[in-house]
Amino acid sequence: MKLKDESIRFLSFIIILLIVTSILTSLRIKDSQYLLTDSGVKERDLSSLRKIKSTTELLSESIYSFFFLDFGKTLTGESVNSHILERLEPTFVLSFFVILIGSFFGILFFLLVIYFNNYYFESFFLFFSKLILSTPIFLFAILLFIIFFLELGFLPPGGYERGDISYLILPGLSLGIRIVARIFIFGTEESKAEIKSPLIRILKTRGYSQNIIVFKYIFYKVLPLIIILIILDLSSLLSGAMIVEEIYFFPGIGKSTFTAIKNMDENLLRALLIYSGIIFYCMTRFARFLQFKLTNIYE
Amino acid sequence: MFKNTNDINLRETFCSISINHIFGCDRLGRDILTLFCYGSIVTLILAIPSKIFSIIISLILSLLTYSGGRFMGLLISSLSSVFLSIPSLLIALVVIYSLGKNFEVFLLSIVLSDWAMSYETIHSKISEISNSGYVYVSKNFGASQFYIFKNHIFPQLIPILNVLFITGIPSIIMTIAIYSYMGINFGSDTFGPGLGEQISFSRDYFHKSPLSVVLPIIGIFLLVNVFNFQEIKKKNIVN
Repeated sequence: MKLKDESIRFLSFIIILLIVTSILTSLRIKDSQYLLTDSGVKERDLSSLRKIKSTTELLSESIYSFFFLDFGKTLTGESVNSHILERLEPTFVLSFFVILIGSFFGILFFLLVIYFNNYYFESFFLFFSKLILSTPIFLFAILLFIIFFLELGFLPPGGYERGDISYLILPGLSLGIRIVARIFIFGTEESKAEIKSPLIRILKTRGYSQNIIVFKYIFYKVLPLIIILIILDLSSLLSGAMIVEEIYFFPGIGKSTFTAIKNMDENLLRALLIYSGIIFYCMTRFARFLQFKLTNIYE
Repeated sequence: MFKNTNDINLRETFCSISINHIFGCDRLGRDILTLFCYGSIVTLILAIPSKIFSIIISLILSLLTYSGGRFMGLLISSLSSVFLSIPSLLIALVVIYSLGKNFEVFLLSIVLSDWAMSYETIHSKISEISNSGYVYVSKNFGASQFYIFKNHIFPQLIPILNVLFITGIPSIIMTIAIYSYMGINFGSDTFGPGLGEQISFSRDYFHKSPLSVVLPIIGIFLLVNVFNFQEIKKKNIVN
């Protein structure tokens, strides 16, 4: 029954995704002739460009592309699949870098706060976490750009080179800082609830050290929920961090999406909409499945 | 004190702090305080109606899910999943680039990128209420769906709608700041550049005019946190 429900849900998601993709693509590609104004294209050659595709035509193209994984070519003549594959590597590297630093510091800070159990220490981290979550990511990106490139000149202003971690630091910090804040707030709240549980009280009365209670029992209890949080963050990172990639000229999926919108690249836009939709959907469903496995709660 | 934000005066490029220019001038000689004030006003002009419309649309769709049967429920929840799964900035950029940069299009783009989140909250609250014991009893006494909605669901939704409004505005302010950073501004002929565009325009001249970057950053931060403060107050009242 659950498998049937899940299949119906996925099928209806795919149908609606393809319809929405076609509508958004048809909106974007209207009157794209002006892009060729200065290119020397002759009047008679414009006839094929003048034909504006209807949403139904675009829908059938989207269905064909989805089932045969053939998205055609980009405006520059490159295959859409190879274009996306080329950008997947930097996107994956950046996403895993962000998740690594975000989860490491987030977990470290909340464990320290729980371990030392100091009001001022906790308030300090909590204040900064809330501050971070209520500030747009691009402001951090700009501030880090000003400090580390314009002022100190330590790090490159943008771009990406395989194997060179310095290109990942600024975009990674801009994106990771929110993950640190989210994991800190979530981890602290969950751990505080856990401290009040009968198990921890018994451990305390039996004289277990704070080290063992925090780093073994509380940490292992909270970890599964933090993993779910990390998977949800990873799903949005894999869909492309458009604004940060644009600020740092990072050649990932996000920058590619922005370029596709600006250049009215129908095939690329369609492929990226379907790609980000499916990645996000599958990861969130996986996170829910994991949540069910770990907590035995299902909707 | 307030000057025209589009008045360019190259003689006053990067002018220092004075009585006429309390925070100095930017690269085009425009008064930084004026840019900041108009940028903040235009952000609020967009953010508040957008959130109201987004909540109204979410409420209507939640009601359709509640009253429209299984098929309608599946259709709307799939639509919501699709809008949640596609990056909201992508949807908004496609809409604005395609339909123009007037007020209605901005409103539409923000509503499209925001409604799904509000829908999920309202829908889950309606499900919770409609599965409660007193609604079950009410149904057994022959109450119609409209009666249940009017007397049981809607009164309990009001505090949720209030919280959704207050908590949603900061995220919309952040979205507007991002649009503006990417050069997508509403009413730039009247109000000048938005706060995000001011940052993007001045960031390479940070050494010469740090306030033209710092002030819009503070502006966005204050706008977001004024509503976050209201949110905490509201949550305390609801609790």
